[in-house]
Amino acid sequence: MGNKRRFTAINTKVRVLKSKLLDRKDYLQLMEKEGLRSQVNYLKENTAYNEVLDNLADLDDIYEVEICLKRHFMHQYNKLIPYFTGEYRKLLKSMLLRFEIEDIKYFLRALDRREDLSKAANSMILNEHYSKLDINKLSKSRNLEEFIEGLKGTIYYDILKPYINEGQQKILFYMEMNLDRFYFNLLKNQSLKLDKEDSILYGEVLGKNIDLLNIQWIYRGLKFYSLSPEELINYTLSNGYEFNYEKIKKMCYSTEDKLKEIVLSSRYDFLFDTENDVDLYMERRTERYLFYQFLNTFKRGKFDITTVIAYIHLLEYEIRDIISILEAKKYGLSSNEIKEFLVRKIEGSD
Amino acid sequence: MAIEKMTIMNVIGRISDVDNILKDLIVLGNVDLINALSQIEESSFIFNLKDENLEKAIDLNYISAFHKDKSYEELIKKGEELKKILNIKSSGKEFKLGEQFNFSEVSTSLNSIYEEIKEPYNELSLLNEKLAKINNFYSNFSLLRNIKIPIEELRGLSYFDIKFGVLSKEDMIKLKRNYENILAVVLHTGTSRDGEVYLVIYPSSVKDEISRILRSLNFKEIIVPDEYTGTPLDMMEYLEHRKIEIENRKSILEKTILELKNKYSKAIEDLLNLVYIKEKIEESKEHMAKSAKFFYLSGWVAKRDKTKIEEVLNKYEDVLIIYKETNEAKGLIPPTKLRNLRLFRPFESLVKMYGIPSYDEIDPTPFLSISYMFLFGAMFGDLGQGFVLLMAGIILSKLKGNKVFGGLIGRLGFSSMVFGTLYGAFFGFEDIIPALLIRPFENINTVLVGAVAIGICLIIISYIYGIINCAKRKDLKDGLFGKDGLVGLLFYLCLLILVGGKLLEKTLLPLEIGVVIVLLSIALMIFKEPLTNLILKKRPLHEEHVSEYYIEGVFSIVETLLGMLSGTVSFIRVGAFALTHVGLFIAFETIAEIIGTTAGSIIVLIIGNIIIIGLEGLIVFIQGLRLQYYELFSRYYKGEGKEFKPVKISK
Repeated sequence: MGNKRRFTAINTKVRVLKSKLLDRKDYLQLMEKEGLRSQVNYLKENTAYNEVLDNLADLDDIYEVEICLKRHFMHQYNKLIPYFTGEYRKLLKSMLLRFEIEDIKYFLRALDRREDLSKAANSMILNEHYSKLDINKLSKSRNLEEFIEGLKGTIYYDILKPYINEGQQKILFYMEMNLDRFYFNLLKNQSLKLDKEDSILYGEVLGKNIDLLNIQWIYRGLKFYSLSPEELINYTLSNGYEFNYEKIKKMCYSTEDKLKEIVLSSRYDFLFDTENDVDLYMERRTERYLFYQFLNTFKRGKFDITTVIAYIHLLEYEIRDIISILEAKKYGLSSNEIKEFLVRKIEGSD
Repeated sequence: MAIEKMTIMNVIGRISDVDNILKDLIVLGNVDLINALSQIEESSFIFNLKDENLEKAIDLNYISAFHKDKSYEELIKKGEELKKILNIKSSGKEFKLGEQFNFSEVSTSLNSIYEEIKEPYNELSLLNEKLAKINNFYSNFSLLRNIKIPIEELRGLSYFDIKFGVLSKEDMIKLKRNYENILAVVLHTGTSRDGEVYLVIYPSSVKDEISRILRSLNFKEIIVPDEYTGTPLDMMEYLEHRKIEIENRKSILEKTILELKNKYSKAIEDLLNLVYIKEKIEESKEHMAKSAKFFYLSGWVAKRDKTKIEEVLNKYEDVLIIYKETNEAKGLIPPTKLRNLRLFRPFESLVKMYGIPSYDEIDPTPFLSISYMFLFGAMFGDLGQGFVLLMAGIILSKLKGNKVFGGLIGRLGFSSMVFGTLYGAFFGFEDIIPALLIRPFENINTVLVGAVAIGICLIIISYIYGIINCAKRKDLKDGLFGKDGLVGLLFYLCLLILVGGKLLEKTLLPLEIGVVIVLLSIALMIFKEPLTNLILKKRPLHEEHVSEYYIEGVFSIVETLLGMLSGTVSFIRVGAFALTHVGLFIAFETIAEIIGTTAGSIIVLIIGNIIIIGLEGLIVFIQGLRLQYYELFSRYYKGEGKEFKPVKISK
């Protein structure tokens, strides 16, 4: 199928969906509203979130609100899937697995803290409609072993199986790392099955994301964790865009200062090229970089995989920003302080 | 007509007989249970107070629901597991009436058989596991064969540690690329189910670092059991020996199981069937009520089956049966049980696809069957191709699960054969047999006009059906003044006569009279609601807003008019498809001629016939159904009934 034909319908669809995203005024309004209730009401009355928020019983529970917002993402996402067939559809579905993985991690953390899983089950983003996980069964498991056995039949079982009998510390860390690595490999492998042009384009998007995650990982590993360079390198993700294995290796076997030097000479210089706090805003800088990349891609509106991918990420960042605003407001931050934590730039922010 | 007359049957019997009575009813399979508690509340259990009934009447004051006994669930699981272990194929279910049914006996004997078989089976699966482990070990260490060092020596090294484990391809590449920085020797030793197996040897002093690095590579360790000693070759020998031992034991066990199978397979199946009955019995009890001494059961039965059921029930002592007519049953809609000639029976599925007839509606199956067969045959008339369909239908109905569809295809094929004889077509060729009636392609106009004429007949019949249905429902408004009622029929006939007269250029009915009748019918149809209410002396005359009612009325007249015209013309497709059928074959015949060679032509003609049967057959099937549902059913059939669903064991 030609790309023109494949993408005309979906590009029109995402353009409509994009027009429903919040604009600058909405963010400013949200930052000015006092109290969660009035913020939620604003979202209900002025934005596309009314659908999910209408069913919300408890307007005062910030956690419930956040889950609703995330479910909105699911709704929107699932509107896109029918526009694709074959490998393209598979890729979109694979991207969705991230939420499944997030849910599993959520469970794993709750297990680690010996919390009641049934409480965790209520905060799952994916419901049975989108996920093959048997949340009900999983939430009844009393220990890690039962939980992992409960995953039998899913792709996650093989990844987590080796940890069943590990009583060790830091096991949570290893499991999470492996899940993430599995996810990125899955995306890469699936993207290779697309048409050549789209495969390259998607590889670029994914590669930049991987680069940024690798930099963050190595930076933190060098600065905060006492990990050997060998371990450090083994946990990096492959298939980066600018940094190949040799460069990554060089970064892992260096010091914090040398690492900064390498990054400053790359396209990701914005991470360290600042007077402000590097550590605190690192994640936001990463996201902001990607956000503007996606915004540009969307504006170009080419008939290839990038437009729809861009929309998906824009929506995701929007939800992240809304949540940031809600949370920040709860802790009494001023509008100017909040702006610092938002993915997008709103006048007056750095 | 073809809908069975129903009656409610209320049964009171001794609670000790409940399982046996229910078993018999389930085997009979013609009672559709309803909630006995609500029947009792509606005082349906009314009977003469004689001495022998006194107790039953008193007990009616102490009724309660049955507790569900779920013990059968486990037994079903066990029974099915046994069938799987012994690889027993079901040979259908057979039940006899009147046999005593003792569930606890069934339960104990099934359990004892289960224990007896499960024991050797468990051992067998344990052995299989061991065997798999050994085989796995072989493949894990196949590449180590040449190392002449006993494994315990490797284990016992003072300054070095070893580890076996699996690494994925990708992780191995990572390791290789950074090999210069890693203080260990990594050797490839074999392939396992999970991936490639490696041996890692490293100084004990860097044990922690290495294990962390290995962990970061997602290294899955394989533990070598302590029983394996000596060089890899010794190990293999030992394993070979173990393997033979296991195999021997296995064959003994397998023999035992086979013997058990021969001994028990019949018994298991019989017992399991009884457990299935128990499942149904327990399900049925949900609808029933009980008191200390009696049980109370209510259900719909066909009047025809009454004597048969009574015969069975009267074998038990102290059983009281009370019938209640449908018109006495307030708020309960009797279920519909269709009963048709064998010829028509497969067509019931087409009716049900649209909806189950209401209890007081005429069963449309006979009319649908005849007209559908007729339409299909007329569109797809061919002696040879019809015969293929007939054969296909007969074969299909022999296969499991396709009985209805096979029967349908077979009957349609037969009809096609009849029309094939009339048209003189045999596998498309028109020069082999004579046409008894007409050759469609040479009489195009006649065929098309004939099709419309047939359509008119069918439409008129469906008007009549509709009017009868309205009369049965006592629906004056639609039956008399409705567009599908008497006035509608008058309107339709009058229009037909006027149009027909114009076409034939003959005066069948003076134009003036015709127009008057038409206008009068239109007026009656528009004013149907106030007129009905006037006759029935009901007020107010209009149930909704007056202006809305009339605007809607006028539009619905336009719609009716269009519907009548298009509905009639719609039947022209019957003729058109009869022509297409011939035309399609002519196309293939031409291709065959162009090819020239005999073999080639024959192949093309065979392919052509296959395409015609498959593709055109399907199209005609759908088009026929469309005419039935859209042009005919919409005029007379509502299909809002409830299906009669007796409790029974599905075979």
